[in-house]
Amino acid sequence: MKKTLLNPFEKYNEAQLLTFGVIALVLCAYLGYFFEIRFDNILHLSTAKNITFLQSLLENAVNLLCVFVFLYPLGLIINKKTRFIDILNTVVVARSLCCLMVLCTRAFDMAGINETIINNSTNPYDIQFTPVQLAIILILAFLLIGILIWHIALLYNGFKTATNLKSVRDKILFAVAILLADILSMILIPLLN
Amino acid sequence: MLIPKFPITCPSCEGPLHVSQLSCPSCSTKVSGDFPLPVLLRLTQEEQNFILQFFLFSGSLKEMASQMGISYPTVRNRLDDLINKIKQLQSQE
Repeated sequence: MKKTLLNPFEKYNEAQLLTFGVIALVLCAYLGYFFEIRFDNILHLSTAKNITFLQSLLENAVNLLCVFVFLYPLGLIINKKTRFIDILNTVVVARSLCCLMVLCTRAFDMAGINETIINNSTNPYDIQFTPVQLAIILILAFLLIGILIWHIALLYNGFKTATNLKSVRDKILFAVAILLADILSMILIPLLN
Repeated sequence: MLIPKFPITCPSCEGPLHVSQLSCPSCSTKVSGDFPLPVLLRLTQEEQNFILQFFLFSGSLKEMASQMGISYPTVRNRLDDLINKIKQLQSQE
């Protein structure tokens, strides 16, 4: 079970992974539209008003493409036999975790917490959360960090399986590619609006 | 019937083993010498099985993946690792 969650790329064939990934992508876009969440960049969410389903889908697609555009050429440099579909599946399956992130963000009542922060935005030292609010913040933080780590683990394991990644140099290049993808998505997403 | 595992490394110092004696089961003739193991026999049982499966599937990695219940890139990676290992063993000869 642990292996399936952290590295489904070793077990499932490309058709199964792609089907799962595409369904998750559409679901993610729908959840973003329904819960008014924007996908600012590959690893970040924020609240938004009046977002349409198409906008949400487009943002998810752009985030996905930003990662793909860096990982696929890197994959080919590391291993000439790297397949397009394996890198695509890596990116799409990893992206599916954004559904969880949206649900976690909306599972807790953040309205009171947001109001406290906004009312004390001029002097952050005056912010005083109730014990319940603090507990919510902590739980949400742990959940989101956990999901983020899982997301990176999926990207890494998928890329490793697709390219037979071994050397330290290639692992560092992978990390650099993800950072560059994040920067690119931060540039491209605002252009969609 | 229990088939004993063919040893390829020394249990004492983990160095590569050589064949020093072969015998004929029908006429009891024994042949002694110093024969290094062929490259294929210097692989682990699992690796030898993998190569056998590859051969039996006529080199179709897709079919192998389907039968073994693992993904195509995983099978390909194992094959690539095995190819590198065999090349290393050949260069040591």
